[in-house]
Amino acid sequence: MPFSNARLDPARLPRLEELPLTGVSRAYARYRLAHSLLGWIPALVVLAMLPPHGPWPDWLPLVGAPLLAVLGPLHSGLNWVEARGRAYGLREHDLVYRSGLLVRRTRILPLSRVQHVETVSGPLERLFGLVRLNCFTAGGSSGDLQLAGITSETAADLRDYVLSRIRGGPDREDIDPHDRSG
Amino acid sequence: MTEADNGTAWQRLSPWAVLFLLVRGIVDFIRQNLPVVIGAGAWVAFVERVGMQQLLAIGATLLALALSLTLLYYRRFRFRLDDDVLRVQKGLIRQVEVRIRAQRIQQLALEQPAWMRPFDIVRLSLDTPGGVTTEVELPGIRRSLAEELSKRLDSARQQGAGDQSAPASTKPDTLFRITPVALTLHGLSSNAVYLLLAAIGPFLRPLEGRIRERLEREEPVPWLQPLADTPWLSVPLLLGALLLALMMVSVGAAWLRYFRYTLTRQGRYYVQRSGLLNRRQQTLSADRLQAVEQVQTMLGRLLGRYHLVCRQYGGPQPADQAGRSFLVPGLDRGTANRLSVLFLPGLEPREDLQPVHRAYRRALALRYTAVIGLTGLALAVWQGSGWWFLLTGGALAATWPVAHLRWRLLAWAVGRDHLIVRRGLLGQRTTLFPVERVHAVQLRQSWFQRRLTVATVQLTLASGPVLLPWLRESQARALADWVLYRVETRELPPAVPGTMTAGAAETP
Repeated sequence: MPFSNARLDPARLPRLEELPLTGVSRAYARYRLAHSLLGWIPALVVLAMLPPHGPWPDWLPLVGAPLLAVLGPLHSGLNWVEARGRAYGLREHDLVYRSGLLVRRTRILPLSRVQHVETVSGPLERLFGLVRLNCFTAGGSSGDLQLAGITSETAADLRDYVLSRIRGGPDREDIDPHDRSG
Repeated sequence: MTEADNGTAWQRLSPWAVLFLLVRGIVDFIRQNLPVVIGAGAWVAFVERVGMQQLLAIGATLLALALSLTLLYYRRFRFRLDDDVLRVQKGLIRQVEVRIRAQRIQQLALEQPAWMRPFDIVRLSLDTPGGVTTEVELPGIRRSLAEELSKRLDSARQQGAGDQSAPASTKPDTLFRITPVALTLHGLSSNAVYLLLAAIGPFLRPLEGRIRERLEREEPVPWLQPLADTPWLSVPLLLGALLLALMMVSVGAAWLRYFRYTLTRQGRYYVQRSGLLNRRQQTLSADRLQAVEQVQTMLGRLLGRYHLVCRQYGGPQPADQAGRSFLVPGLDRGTANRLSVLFLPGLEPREDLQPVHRAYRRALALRYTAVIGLTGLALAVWQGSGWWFLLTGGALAATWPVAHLRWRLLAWAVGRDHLIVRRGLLGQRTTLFPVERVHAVQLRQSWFQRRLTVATVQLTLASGPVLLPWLRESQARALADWVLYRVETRELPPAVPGTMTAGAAETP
């Protein structure tokens, strides 16, 4: 199949910053909040069950409990804010994913480089109706792209589109993954 | 030619391979465990506790066990070539069959240690893209069979690549042959000196203890007495002698590894042959080549010496890992550039590399200051010694010069369809790669970088990521757009954007 690239103007390179990105599903922020809070629970339980006297310093439970009470929600809150800032975009020839709060990363993966695609979802993600789309390249882990926080319908559409590009089949113009971000 | 001769029937390893496997297993075991055992003094304690006779009995039992396992491995190892697929069956408890299609091979190596020469057997190893270790190894087969296999695999690879113009029988074109002087200079400039120092590090303290004990027991040597009385002279002399010995060992290692090094081109393949005792032949597919690195060690910069490392699929490897990296040693600047152009056609070696944003230097210095300052403070409080404050102060004074050196060496340039990135501190490493080899692009901005409107660009190749930190944001975005256009359209962009050229070098 001949290479099709109708949207591109050779006299002016397509600019990444002009691509409007679509936010990931709103459920993703709630998922990250829950995931983070659940991660802090074991530490809280251990601290709560510590006998007052033992081989550890006496001040440990006194200092540890307030510290956890501050760090846990703070960490979870930051996760929530970070998740709300995540966004993705699909162009004719590449997939774009933005993530990060203090360090913001925008990763662009040319679809021609994708070797294979997989969708993954853990139990907690399924509870929130979320799926991760992993796109693998020959560039190793630093070249792969993990698109987290999308709904299963969006993931399926994106996967089909990416696979159609890998196969070099007809472009799936009917697919508009931006409509189903949840 | 019979099927047994051309490798199309099931073949076994040479019986001498048993010896090779056994020796290699023992050497690997010693190499992995000796520094720990001897360095900690555990070996002496073990011998004293068990007794020499029992120890010999244990050793003989272990040797018999190793020999039995090696024989079993040998019996279960067989291989054959089915058209363009090499099949290898092996395994002790679990029998596995590895199949490798010739077109997937990115590097093929033939190796002949000195002790294999009388038996005319060689070791053949194959790497495929994505493999972390050597994919397949035939540890000891007849040279004639190995050469026939190699020829058939090369032929199948070239047919698979659609290259009919360069059959395996094409006369090789010699690209580079090392001279004795260049080889010696490569040995002198090699980082092997530092690696050697690190390797013998665990032995130095026990050795020093033994020497001290011996000197205290025995009569002083008259001609050594003046040296013992003048430590300001003896210490530098000893250090100098140690450095000289290490350099000689490093030069010796270079001669062993790269003796009569020759690089040739045969069709779409580069072939290198070298080695004094262990003759080695490596083949690199031009199609699999991702990037070329021009490396100068610290001593190499003083001596004006380079070596090239050809990066293939499968992530970065240690610079001189045996059998993995395709390394061209002992080059001057002109030859390094000439060979780089041969490896990467269309490359224009550039001298006008542009620096990254100078705020990078400040960021590095602040990062070093924070780490050193906090560590020094913690140690001073913990140890309760003022010396730590002095040491920390000295280290902090060095942060800005170190940051400046790193910033000065970090530079980049963009050619018509290649990128050049140089980095380093005392030594330097310049990565050259065709833009079309990029697999993914990442733009990264910390909060601090956003305030300064700068960004870091990470370009991922199949051989690993290349980082361009702290470019002006507009420059970083232009670079990302330009690279993506090149990768996605396979056409050259109309021109290199003005924001990316050396004329637009950063001013804060």
